[in-house]
Amino acid sequence: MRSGALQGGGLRIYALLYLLFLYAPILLLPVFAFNSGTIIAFPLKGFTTDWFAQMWADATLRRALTNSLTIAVSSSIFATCLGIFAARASTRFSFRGKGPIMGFIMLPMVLPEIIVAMSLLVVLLGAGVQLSILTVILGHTLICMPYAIAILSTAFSSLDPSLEEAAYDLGETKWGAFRLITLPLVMPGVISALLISFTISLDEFIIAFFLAGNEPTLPTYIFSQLRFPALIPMIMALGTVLVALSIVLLALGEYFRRRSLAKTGGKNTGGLL
Amino acid sequence: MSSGSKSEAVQGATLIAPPFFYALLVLAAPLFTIVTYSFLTDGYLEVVRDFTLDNYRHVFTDPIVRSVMMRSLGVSMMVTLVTVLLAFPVAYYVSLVVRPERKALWLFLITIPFWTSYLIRVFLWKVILGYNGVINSSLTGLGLIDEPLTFILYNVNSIVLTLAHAYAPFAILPIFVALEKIDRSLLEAGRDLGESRLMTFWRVTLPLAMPGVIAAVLIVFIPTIGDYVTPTVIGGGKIPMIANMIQVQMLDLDNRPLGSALAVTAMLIVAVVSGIFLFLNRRFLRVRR
Amino acid sequence: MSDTRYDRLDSAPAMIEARDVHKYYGEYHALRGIDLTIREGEFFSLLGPSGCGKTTLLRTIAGFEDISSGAVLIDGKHMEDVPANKRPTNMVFQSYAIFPHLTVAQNVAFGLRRDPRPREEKAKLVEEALNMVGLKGYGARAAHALSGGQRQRVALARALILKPKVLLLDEPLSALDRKMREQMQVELIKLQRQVGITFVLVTHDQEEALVMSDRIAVMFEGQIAQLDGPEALYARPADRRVADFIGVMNFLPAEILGETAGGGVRVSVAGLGEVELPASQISRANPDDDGPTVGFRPETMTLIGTGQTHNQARETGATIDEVVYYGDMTYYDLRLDGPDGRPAQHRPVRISMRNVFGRDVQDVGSRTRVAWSPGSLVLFR
Repeated sequence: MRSGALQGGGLRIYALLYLLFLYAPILLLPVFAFNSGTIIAFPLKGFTTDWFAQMWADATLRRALTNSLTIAVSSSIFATCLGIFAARASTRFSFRGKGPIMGFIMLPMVLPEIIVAMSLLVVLLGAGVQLSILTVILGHTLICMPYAIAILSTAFSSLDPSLEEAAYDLGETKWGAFRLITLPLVMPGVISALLISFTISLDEFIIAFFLAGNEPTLPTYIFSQLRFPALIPMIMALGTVLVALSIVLLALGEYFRRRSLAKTGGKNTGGLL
Repeated sequence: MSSGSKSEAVQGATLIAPPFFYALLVLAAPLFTIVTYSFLTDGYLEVVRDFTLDNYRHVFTDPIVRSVMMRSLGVSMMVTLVTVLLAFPVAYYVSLVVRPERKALWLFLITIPFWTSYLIRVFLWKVILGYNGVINSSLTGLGLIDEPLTFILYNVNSIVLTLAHAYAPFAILPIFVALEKIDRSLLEAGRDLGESRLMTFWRVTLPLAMPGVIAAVLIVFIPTIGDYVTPTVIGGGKIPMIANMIQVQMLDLDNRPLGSALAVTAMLIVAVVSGIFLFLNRRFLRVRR
Repeated sequence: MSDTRYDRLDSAPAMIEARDVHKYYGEYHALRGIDLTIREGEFFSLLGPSGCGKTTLLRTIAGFEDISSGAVLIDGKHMEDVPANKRPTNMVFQSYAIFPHLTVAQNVAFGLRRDPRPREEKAKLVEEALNMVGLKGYGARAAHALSGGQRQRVALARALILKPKVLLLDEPLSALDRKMREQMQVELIKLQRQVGITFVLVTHDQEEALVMSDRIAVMFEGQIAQLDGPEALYARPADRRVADFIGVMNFLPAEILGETAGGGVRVSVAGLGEVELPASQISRANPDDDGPTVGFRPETMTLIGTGQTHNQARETGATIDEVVYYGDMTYYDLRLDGPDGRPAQHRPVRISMRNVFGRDVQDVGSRTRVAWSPGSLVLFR
């Protein structure tokens, strides 16, 4: 690609500008999170960590954080467990109605979230179910499941089916073969599925907004604070923490994926997606 | 490897049962409920079990509903167009120019913003574009303008910009995957046969990348048309889209049948648009073969 | 292969028996009545093109596939209710199926997990198994870092450490390059002699089957077309498909002139004239063949004038159509003369000549003569 380098020059500049466009708003977060001015504007005033302190002292925020973590941990575990079933069924077995059933389970990926949230809300209210973080977990598990299945299917299908047969042939039981061979080899996929479900759930607004009742989650808490200009610097601080957390989680996921690739000698075929 | 024998089918069915029943319970039952509701009559504080098509008549004739629908469609088409056009060169660059060992890093960089809080990203655009936002206050502070610019917030353009930013990574990945699948020798063959670089792109690369482009279109279009947060935060509640209208009818006005009819219509719009694009894709692929 | 080995195998007890085995995948009839007996200590091959059912048959023996009807017996016992993990067979997979997250030693020891023997004893067994396949000292290596040939050896050691009665090999050499494949063929033969158990090999490579096997079952479309030793398969293919599949065979159109005593026939062969063939030289034609054909192997004809002596009965004039030089061999494509002395109207036939020192390679277009014997012809009718 000698001449490609020439052509790549313009494209490269464009790609870098594009990255800048992607990151510019996020880069503002730490800038204003540490800025002592109360309005979000340039020029900056001075350095402060007050906003973080204010954030830390906010009892509602702490409650929202606890709720969000509870929801995200539960939904990611449920979604990943259900995902393991579905991914194994779809990659390893053939059964009647497989295509339509899988399509149906993956449907939330292409359904506007407002529709999932509204229809679920109507049914829950109709059935007289008390809205709580449990109902949010119900909804989040549903929307995280397709992502978990997508990741796990890749992990399962890239596995040589004779590996499990070999273990079975060597005297293991079917469960033993799954536990000793398949599970360790798809573990990176399981971890990725957990991390991604966790991130989706932590970030999800609409379902949490409509199904949580009076319980705050991080996104709904942020949403409720947006109309108070005085609280915006604190939200910037919170945003900084959340973005940093997301990046750490993603980097961790990527690290585990690569390490397990190195261990099993697989080929690196791109990122978490 | 699938043997299709009876025990395999039973094992497969047993495995798929838990996720399937979960989706049946949490997805199919609610969807069925709102489809049913959409044909029923709204009473005071309750839904009357009288079959009617009035809700759909209202959805298709009411000028306000129609203008909101058209706005939603317009915004999401605009967002889709902008996003895909902006994303294509980046996907092209990462797939065909970047050295293989650097590709993972680029993809990682592109996907990170996608995993940071959507709400915060939307909110940041409000902070940037707002009346007292970064742009206005900075410009006023520098003495470049006297009055804050109002045309940059609370309008359709700012909604488009925000959504285009939010869904950018969604568009890059499918196009990248399609480009990756192209046999590199085809491109060399195109060049070898005397085609210019531009012609090779036009006659070989672009057609082969088309399935990825179609996937990108769908993956951006579907969530944007149902987006709730951006019109609320950026539009300031003054420029509602379908999602906002559904929410208002369902909860604020407690007219569940009409809200359900709106939701079902929104799903139909999504299904029709997706169907058109998938059909185009199939036609396209058949022509290629 | 010595006669004594054959004699011994002939009288050896049956290790695997398949009795009218059928296998359906939905509508698809994958195995259509397989009957065969594989003897103890035999190196047996299932040979055929892809989709012929050879791998399915192997997998039914291993227990990975149920059979739709019929019976499979291993060492005299019905296998109907015996799952793969309880059968006295072990398998070497086409992909080797080496567990990538384990070391070489852990891979080899995998089958011993449920073995009650003490750890040291197991370690010794692993060591012995690795020595046997030429991987002494590789135990601590990570399995995924091995080359193709080494993986193959690990797979062998892992299967053989369990002392199975039958070792099943599913296209074990197909992933190796040519040199490595030839080397492994020899090693597999030696290994089989050493451990003395039955080996059942699935392959689509006819050369591999001929080199390694005591007996070969050639399969087409879910049925066994011929079950024989390598020499018999090569020299007396039971039908034209088998002849086509194994080695190179030339086919010439033939006309039946009449039957002779003892089931033989008199035929007129394009380019070769009239010959009388006994019943033992008559095989089945393909259903879609135009008419009877006569086949012969490239090496059964001798090109006269290349310095090579022969004691063949008949000679025919020919024109050289093409010469292909292979180093040790030269292939000649010939047009045999018809009765009028002009080339008979048929596709060129290929004959092969071993290149010996001081012998000239003949030129394209030159006239020549070939010597042949009726005894090397096979009639397909």
